[in-house]
Amino acid sequence: MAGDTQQPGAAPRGAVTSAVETEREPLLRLDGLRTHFDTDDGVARAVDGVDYAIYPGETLGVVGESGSGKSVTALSIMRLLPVPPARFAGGRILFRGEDLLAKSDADLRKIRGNDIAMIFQEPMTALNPVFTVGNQLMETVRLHRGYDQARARAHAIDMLTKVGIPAPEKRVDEYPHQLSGGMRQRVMIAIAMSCDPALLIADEPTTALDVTIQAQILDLIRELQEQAGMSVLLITHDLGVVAETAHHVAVMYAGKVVEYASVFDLYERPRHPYTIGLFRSLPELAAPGQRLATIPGVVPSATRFPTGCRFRTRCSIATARCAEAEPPLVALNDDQVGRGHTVACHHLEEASKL
Amino acid sequence: MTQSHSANPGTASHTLAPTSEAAPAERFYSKDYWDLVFEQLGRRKLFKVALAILTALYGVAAFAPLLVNDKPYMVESVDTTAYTSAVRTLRVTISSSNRLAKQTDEAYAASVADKPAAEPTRGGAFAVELGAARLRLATLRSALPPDKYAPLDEIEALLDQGEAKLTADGPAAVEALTTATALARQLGKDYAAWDPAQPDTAGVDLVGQREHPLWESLKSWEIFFMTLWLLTAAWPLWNRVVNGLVLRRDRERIRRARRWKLLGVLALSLVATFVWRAQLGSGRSGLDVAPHKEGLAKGTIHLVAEGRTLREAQTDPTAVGRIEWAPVRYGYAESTVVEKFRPPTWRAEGEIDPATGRLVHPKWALDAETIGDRAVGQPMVIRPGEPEANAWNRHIAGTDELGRDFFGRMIWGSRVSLSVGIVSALILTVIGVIIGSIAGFFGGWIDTLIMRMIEILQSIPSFFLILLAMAFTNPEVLPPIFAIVLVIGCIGWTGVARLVRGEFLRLREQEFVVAARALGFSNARTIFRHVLPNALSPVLVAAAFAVASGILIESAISFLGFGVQQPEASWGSLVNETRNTSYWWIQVFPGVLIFVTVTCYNLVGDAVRDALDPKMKV
Repeated sequence: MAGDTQQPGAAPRGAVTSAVETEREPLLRLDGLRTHFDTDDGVARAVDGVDYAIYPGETLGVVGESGSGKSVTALSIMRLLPVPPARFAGGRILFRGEDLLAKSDADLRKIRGNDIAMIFQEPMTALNPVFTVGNQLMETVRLHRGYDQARARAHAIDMLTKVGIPAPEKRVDEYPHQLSGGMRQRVMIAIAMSCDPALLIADEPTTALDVTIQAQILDLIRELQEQAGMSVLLITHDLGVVAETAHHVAVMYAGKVVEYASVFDLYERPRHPYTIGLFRSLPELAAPGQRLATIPGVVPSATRFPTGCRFRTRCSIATARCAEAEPPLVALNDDQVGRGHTVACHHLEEASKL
Repeated sequence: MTQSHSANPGTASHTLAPTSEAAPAERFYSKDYWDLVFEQLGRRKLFKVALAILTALYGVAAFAPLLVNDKPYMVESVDTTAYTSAVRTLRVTISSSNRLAKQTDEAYAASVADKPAAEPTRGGAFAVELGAARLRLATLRSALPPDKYAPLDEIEALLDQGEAKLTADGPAAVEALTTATALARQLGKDYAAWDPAQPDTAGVDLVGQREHPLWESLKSWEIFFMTLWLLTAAWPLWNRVVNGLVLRRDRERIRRARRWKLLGVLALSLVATFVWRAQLGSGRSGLDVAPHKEGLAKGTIHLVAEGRTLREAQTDPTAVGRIEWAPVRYGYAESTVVEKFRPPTWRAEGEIDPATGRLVHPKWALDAETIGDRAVGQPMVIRPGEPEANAWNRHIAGTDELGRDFFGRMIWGSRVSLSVGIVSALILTVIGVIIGSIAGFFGGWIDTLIMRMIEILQSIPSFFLILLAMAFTNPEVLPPIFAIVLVIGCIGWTGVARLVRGEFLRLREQEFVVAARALGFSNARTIFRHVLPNALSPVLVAAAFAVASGILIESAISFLGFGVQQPEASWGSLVNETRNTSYWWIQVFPGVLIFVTVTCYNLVGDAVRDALDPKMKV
């Protein structure tokens, strides 16, 4: 399944390179991260115990429905959430072994944009409409690298060339509204890449783009990743995008990671009923003439998560046990890659028959 | 590998201009923000008209002293009265310094013990007396032909000697000063001036000297604003020259030079100010206007060309001195009682009977008889330099209650009105923007606190708050005009703050704000560099309105007597000189000026708002 969507050149990276470097330290590790929001309706537990790791040079895809806490996790890593109402209720965010939650604002600002950069879903609004593209590209390097005007401008043109924008000398003086959506996303990527970050967080980078542009942008991210050797945290709800781009995948549901595996394992042997449901609902996998399979219901509100397993209200194999105890993430021994395939479900046997 | 992307037709080349390869610099020039803004502004006729009117008004305000002044630009004259008095009193000053030289310090201290106004030390008192003597010598020197300088030089040398030896060698100083006193006494006899009124008596023939009282009375800050105005108003002219010759029409260089041009204008104005100060000093005209005009009228000041003598001037027309007046020859506080509430003189109703000083027009003549509105039977005195009694341009905007030229007062008043509007708008915009952006950006309890504060402030009628504040400011510590500006600025910011907060609340949700923070920019940088420029267009319009309302508030305060004090004027206080509608010019002219200014500001604000919005130019 996954192999079908892989391009020949990119295919071996997950299977081979990672397998021999099992012992490498992860670049970023989330350790039971809890981000809660104090709202008038009560505490919204948007992120409630998330664990995953990103290794140097690799891509972690985070998938899940809207409202599953993917973006809040990303914003938590950058600590971009307004506090209050947001509140870090627990856990750690270890970046190169240091806890980002313990850092001061000033220290954090040195990391943001410099070591960890982020690109956003809406290229239409993520660029400041009153400044030229060059202006916005130059500001980052002038701030973090202390470049002077001329050097920053040369760097900006260089970055625009790297992200494949034609006539960068001309584009550098244009305003975001003069560019097309795809170009804006390229500019966004150029800005994020200006300081050679170790980790790029891409929050649904292709959702707002049309399909041909999506492919180009994903190719671009992958090329830049290979050139710079950086890690990418790719947040998406598009399983095709994950299959094409990611080395590892974390499936999130209702503020928790329900399944974490290498992209091969996940696509070959999805174990969590939710993951299985997600794959079933892919249109290209449905037989012609058949109704598309869906997961009944919607993601529960973050203020009123069900007890026990959070997916049980929509799960076809849920039992009384699911309501009583929350299933822990359990490591399976079926993985090929060696980084572990973990699933949070009480009924793995039943799930495998789905 | 990036090649594959640039080759893609969908994203890449659809907006590329199909220009030739020949001129790469031209080809890659894309209009930048300010190009677009100026282009957009240039398309608006009303904006241009409004800007031209405002520029003219500010020009008039900056150049008010050159337009309306009772001092002449230049006068070539001999003042026989001043000369005679200097000759007579020279001996007195020298002999009193001599008396001080004879005294001991202790004796002097004892003699002034009960006189707090006197110089505390003998040395100080001596210096004052000597200074007075030297001033008189200078007066004599300026009016005498050079061949008569010999005794003056002698006295001067003796004075220097006396000063040098005062402390070291008292008796020598006394001796020198005694000699000087004797010489001065002799001078008083020999150097009496020749008086044209008594041509037969002998006397020294005085020489005309040239003075520039008006130029000397200019203050250096006035020079700053005059230069600034000139350079700004002539911007289109010199800009073309600089762009063509210095920057060689290279658009890239022109773009980079923009900031330097702006700084250059400011720097040149400052340079002009300092040069002026170094050359001429600031506002140090020795001319006392009223006696000067009186002297000219009575004939004790004779017009004699520079270097020519008084005797020559009696017979030779080329030896008569010239006098050059400002276009409107009245001081802003100069009053003529006979011309009380005189209508504009270009109208028939402004005609006056010079013999009685009464208005001839039936309407006013009746008033004068029945109400006793006007001093009876005073003939009109026309002072030197003024137009004839019934010339059309004598008082083109009429006169006020004290017979002051209303046109002149309006021009001097424009300084207050125009600057009050701008400065108060500037203050309130800055305060409002800062507080509003903090409230809007941070939200939460900071926002709540600030908004409640604003609501409390707004619930008090601001006009009474301003009046209250004005009532408690001491006009001696803080001139009323500064107090008005500060008070308007400190109270009027709430509207701007709410506007900015609203814009920030809208913009805060946009991803570029999160993106800016994700790039590691600090809060201050995000607020002021990334969000604020997006929120500025409504602020600009609000600021334009604030200028207008500043002018209006200032006039209302001045009307109630808390603002600009007589004889200083502002348009608002001029409107309120009288509320009698028969004196229509009092209300109409300043009223029209206020209206025009306020309208122009609104037009400019509107045009600038449209032009600054980058999204409107796709």
